[in-house]
Amino acid sequence: MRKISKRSAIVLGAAGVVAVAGVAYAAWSSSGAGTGSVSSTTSVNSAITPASSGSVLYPGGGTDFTVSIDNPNAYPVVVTSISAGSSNVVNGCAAGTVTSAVPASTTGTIAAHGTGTYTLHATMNSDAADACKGQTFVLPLTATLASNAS
Amino acid sequence: MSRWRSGVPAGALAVVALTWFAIGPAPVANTANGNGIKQFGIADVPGRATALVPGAAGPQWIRLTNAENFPILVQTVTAAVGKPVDSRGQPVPACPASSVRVDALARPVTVAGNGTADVALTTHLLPGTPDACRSVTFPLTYTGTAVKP
Repeated sequence: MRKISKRSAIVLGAAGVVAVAGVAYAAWSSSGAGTGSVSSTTSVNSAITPASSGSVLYPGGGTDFTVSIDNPNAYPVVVTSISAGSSNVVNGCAAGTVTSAVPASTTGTIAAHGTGTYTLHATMNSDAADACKGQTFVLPLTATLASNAS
Repeated sequence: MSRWRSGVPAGALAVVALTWFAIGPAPVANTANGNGIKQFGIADVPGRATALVPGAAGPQWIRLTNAENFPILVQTVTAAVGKPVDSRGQPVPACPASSVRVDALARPVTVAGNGTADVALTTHLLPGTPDACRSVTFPLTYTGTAVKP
């Protein structure tokens, strides 16, 4: 039998080392697996309440008034819009005698469980009836809010 | 005689044969203690769930469980987000799974032998998520890799 040359022996030996090293790496690695879940929170509607009534109105006149909007959620929100308002019937004074326009902007963030104040402008119709004297007008409003969490 | 045409002696054949048998057990490395590492577990940590809010990030705590009697170094963990379901387990088609993103494990974590390690993955509910995504649950499928340090 022919003897293996020194150079061939070195090549075979190196190949053996490489193979063994590869096995060692494969044997000591592992994988993991599992399942879980995440849930989103819900949202709670805010309430709009009168904050200040402004000055008294007269036919054709106007005044600024403010409303408070609360945030009962555990995350900050922004008010993206507040609707126009139109007064309810009150003691013979016709509905719509006092109106408020959509505010041009509703800037600011309401903190979690906080409250924000927003200024609106109300006007009384120029043809308001005498029944509208000395009345307090209620204007239903709606607002839309969005999460401002980051 | 050319030196490069020399025959392979019996000793060299033995080396090749042993190497083959050494490679053989590798596919069962996940179950054979000594030749490999058992698959480690990844699960949510009970009682540490975070309710996601649009535009915000929160921790998703997971527990890595090592069934081996030696430490392992968990190098990667990722989570695939599935389609959400509501509180009754019904699908919510209007809420896409892409509303949630879970970041990969930020850095390797060592888990003691026969031990556990709790780590947090950062989870995001993306801004502008539809209202349909309120009070829904997104299933997660975790996968990871580890080595013996």
